Amino acid sequence: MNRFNSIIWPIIILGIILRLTDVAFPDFATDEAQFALGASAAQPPIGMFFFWLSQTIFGASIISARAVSIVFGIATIYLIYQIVLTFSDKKVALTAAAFASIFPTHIIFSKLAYLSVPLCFAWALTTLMFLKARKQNNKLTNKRINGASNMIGLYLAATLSTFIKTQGLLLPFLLLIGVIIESIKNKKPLLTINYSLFTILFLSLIPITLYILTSPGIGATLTLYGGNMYGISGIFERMLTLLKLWWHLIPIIFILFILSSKFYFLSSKNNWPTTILIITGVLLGLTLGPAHEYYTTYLVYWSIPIALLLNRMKPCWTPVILTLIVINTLLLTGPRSVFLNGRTYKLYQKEGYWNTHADQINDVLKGVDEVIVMGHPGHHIRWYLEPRVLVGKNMDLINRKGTFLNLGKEIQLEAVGEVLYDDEKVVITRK
Amino acid sequence: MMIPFLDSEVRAKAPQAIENLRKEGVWMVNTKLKSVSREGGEICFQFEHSYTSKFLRAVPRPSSLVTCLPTGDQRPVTSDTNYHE
Repeated sequence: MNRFNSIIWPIIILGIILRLTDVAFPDFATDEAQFALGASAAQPPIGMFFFWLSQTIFGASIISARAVSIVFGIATIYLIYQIVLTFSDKKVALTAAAFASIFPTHIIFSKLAYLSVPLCFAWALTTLMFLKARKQNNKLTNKRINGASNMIGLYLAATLSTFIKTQGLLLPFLLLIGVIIESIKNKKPLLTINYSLFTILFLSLIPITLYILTSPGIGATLTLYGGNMYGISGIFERMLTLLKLWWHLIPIIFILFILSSKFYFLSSKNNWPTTILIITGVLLGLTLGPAHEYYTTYLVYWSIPIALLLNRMKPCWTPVILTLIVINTLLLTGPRSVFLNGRTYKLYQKEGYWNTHADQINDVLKGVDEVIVMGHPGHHIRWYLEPRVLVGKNMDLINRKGTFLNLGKEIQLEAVGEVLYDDEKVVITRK
Repeated sequence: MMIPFLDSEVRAKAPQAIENLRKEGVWMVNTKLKSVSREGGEICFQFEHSYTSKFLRAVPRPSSLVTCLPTGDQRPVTSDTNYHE
């Protein structure tokens, strides 16, 4: 066990350190800026509340916004450890924690201000509370206080999941279906054995249902993307895109997951909640946008079956496989000052335009109250620019005077005027 | 009193109300619909607007945006969007 610990702990610590490197390096993306600025039509408020809280305490900056993901990312490692402990021994749990810690795509998105990592945490917490509450329920012990605290914990975790991101309701919903199926299979009515679990999960879905029904923005977003991005239309193409993405980012882990799936999914009858967690993480990318790399955050749950696989293999394989994963991780997302290479994740290849040019552009715009952006602006423009930004593409600009920021090399017809600033990505004009 | 989105005319006018805000260069995520009312042959949509940016986080400046559209039985007139700081 001593030798085992001397391998596992440095890897867990390395994974935590990697989450703290190059945090401010990539430009803020449009979604990150939207969440950090606390306004999204498509998402419920709690995920964005964490970004607000962090920036209120530490000031508005890219680092304080991304710190939210770092904290939730590190906490998820501990939750995966706890989940495995509910059905296996400490050695397997530590192996799963080491895999989760060094998991390349989870590290990448733990350093960006998306909502995926907070949701990944909340889903792991929901599963852990569910496993604990279920254990308590099945034991039928008289430790009522313990049982009640697990049920309250499950309710809070499930509700938190649903209010971090709209899609967060998927896991509590699928667990609810699981409870119903289990009751039917065991020929035991819902109102006895699983009554509490059923009720708690059902109740946790009510607030988000009401929120969705009273938030037209969510419906509008679904309608906007529903036709092509969401769903299972073109399923083979979706699967191919997803497999290509996994192969590109995490080839060794992908192979290990396939190897572990065979025995895990066949032998995990009693641990269906964890299976639902893993499958939900995979289904998310498949049904909501297979090309979206941030859905690979949830693949960190693969650490669980992979740790079980390693536990069945000869002990000499553990250091070999973990070394290969560490190499994969360092090549993809190691500190760029040391590991910059052709496989480095795209956001860390070169410095972002806005991080390097925003100060200069704000100097040019000094004294300007509002600027009209021509082209297709993302929310990050609002983050970086000091004057109030107006979206020009729908405005009637024929006789409009003012300052214009043209995205791209060309000046839009409506914005032709005196050129105040000109570089490879932006031209600022005044007319 | 009316329940806005049960009123078919309100539903029909809503896209135009949004379009009017877009014509002002507003970021729609910064708006919240506060109320819908009928006033003298017009349906008026009142939005609360808070422009947000890294530099304006500490000082939120909510404003009210009102866009009024003529009802179906009225002769179409130029729609108007008023800012009330």
